[in-house]
Amino acid sequence: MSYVHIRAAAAMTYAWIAIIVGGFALTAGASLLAAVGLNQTGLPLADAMNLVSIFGFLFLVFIVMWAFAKHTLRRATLIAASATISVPLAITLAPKVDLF
Amino acid sequence: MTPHSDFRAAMTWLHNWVGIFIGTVSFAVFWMGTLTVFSYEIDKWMLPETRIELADAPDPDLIFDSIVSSVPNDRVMDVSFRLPTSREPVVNGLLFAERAGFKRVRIDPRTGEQLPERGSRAGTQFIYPMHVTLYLPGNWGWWIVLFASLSMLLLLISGVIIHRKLFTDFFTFRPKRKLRRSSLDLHNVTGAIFLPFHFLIIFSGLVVWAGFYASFPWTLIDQVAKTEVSTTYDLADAYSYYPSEPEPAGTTAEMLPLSFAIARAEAIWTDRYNQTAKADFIAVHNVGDANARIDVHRFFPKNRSEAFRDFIRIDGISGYVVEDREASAVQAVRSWLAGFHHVQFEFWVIRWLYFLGGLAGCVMIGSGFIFWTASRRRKADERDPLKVSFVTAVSIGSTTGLIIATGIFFVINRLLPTEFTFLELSRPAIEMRVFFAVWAITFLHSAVRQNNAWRDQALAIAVISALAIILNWVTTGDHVLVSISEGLWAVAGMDAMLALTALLSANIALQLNSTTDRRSGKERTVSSDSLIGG
Repeated sequence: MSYVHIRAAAAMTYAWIAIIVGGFALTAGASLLAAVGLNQTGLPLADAMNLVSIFGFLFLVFIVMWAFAKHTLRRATLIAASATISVPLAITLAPKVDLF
Repeated sequence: MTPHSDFRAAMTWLHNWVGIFIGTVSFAVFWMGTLTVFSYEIDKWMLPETRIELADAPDPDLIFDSIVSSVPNDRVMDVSFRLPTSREPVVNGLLFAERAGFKRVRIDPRTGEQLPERGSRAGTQFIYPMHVTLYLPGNWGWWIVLFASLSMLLLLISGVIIHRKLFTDFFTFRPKRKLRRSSLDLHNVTGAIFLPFHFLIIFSGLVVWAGFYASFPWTLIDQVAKTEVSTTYDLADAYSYYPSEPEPAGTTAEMLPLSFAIARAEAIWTDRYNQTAKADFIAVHNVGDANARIDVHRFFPKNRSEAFRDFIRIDGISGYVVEDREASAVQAVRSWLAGFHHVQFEFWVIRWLYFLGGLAGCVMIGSGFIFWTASRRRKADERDPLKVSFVTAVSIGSTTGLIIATGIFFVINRLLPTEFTFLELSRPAIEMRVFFAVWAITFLHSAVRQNNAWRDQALAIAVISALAIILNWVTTGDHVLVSISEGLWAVAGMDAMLALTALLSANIALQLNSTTDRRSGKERTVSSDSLIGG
């Protein structure tokens, strides 16, 4: 196995993990933020949570497709970075609506 | 990582590799989901004592009293049960008592008599949970099924993108062409025709369990970061439209009859919807307490695609309605999606269409596997034989292997005596272990026999299916004619499907056998020629 093979395998592993785990975390964070926002505008919590979950799964699927379509490594990093921002933000805001 | 020249090429790459990676789990989820469409009918086949007639007017108070009296000298706190239906004439109740904890109780609703413990998990307690969690410990099964479902959505969308002629695919199936071509045709036909159904069934499955799935990232954060952000049920509760369980008052009181509460709830719904509405599930909280509550549900209306929408909570002592919320627009959408996924409405034609759609999904996944290996075998034989051999073994084990394991699950159910135990394992536990052991063996067999395993396992499915029919006849006396004459349509239908499976599998095995004979004949001719020539 050559250096090129090892580098390709490492890049692929990073991309898959960043896209799948990062994508899931980003969706969770973004969904929760959206639910909190909707709840603040007057929508009941259960409605807000269910509404964002319906779109959340589609959002995740499209994130994965977008990431694998072009510039995968760059996009994987962007997804991981967005997840890193959205998750703590959601954790900070969620208690405002008694979620946690 | 290789940059892809265009979007379609990128999606083709994604479709191929996600398909191969997640195909085994996807097939298992689809296969078990397809069988779950008839889970109550499978119950009737595997548990002959449940082949009873539906009670004319089931008395909920008789059922309730029978469940409570199943734990004498104990304080029962909660009781829940589904009212009997033609598909499930036996009542499967659940109680929570001070000393006994949670206990499942089976009742004959005609007499209130308690039935012995289930001798098998059968359709509703093995095949359905296998569809949802794969029977893996902890939350692993949920995670994996979630990942497989999202991957299936991804595969469907990327599949549409990579097909240049989606509508032509509706009508293109050339079974006599080479395996590579015919398997791709089959993959395309089943994928294209059932595309809307497959998309909706996967999507609705995700939405049904959204509350549970959505809590995963937060529980994972808790575990990794050792924080206390959330528990699974905290967040799942936020998705729920049901109020929390009431606290007991601590003083005893005389409860009103359940039939009164049910009649009251049904009258409210009938008035609201301008059509007769029947309750189907009852939950009693704080039994015999001054703060007793009777939750009357209409989980699955018989004439609509709807689930978990109608719920009324009634004070168990005074009879006042404590909680009655009309569904919001979002709840109505969610309820429709849940109803679509659970397929509990009573339209038998649609139920069979679901079954057909599920089978088409299985064929789509299986033919995808075959296409992948067939299109790589020749090149791989020279360059990387191990990769294709591995995928071949996995493909066969996860498709025909799973069908064999399911067939053995039915056979072993009819072979074991009712009270059978082995090494402290109960009868249902033995059935399940045999299922998983046989499934594992089929993977080993596929690894050894490679492409010949298709034929071997098709033959095995034929034999096992035929054996299951014979064993049902011998052990219960209900062969197809008897079942039909006694109106046991569930049992007759199950036998008929097993017979059809046996015939189809035998036919496939014969065809594969003649193909192998032709190929080996050709190989013999070639080698003789080369000997003569050389």
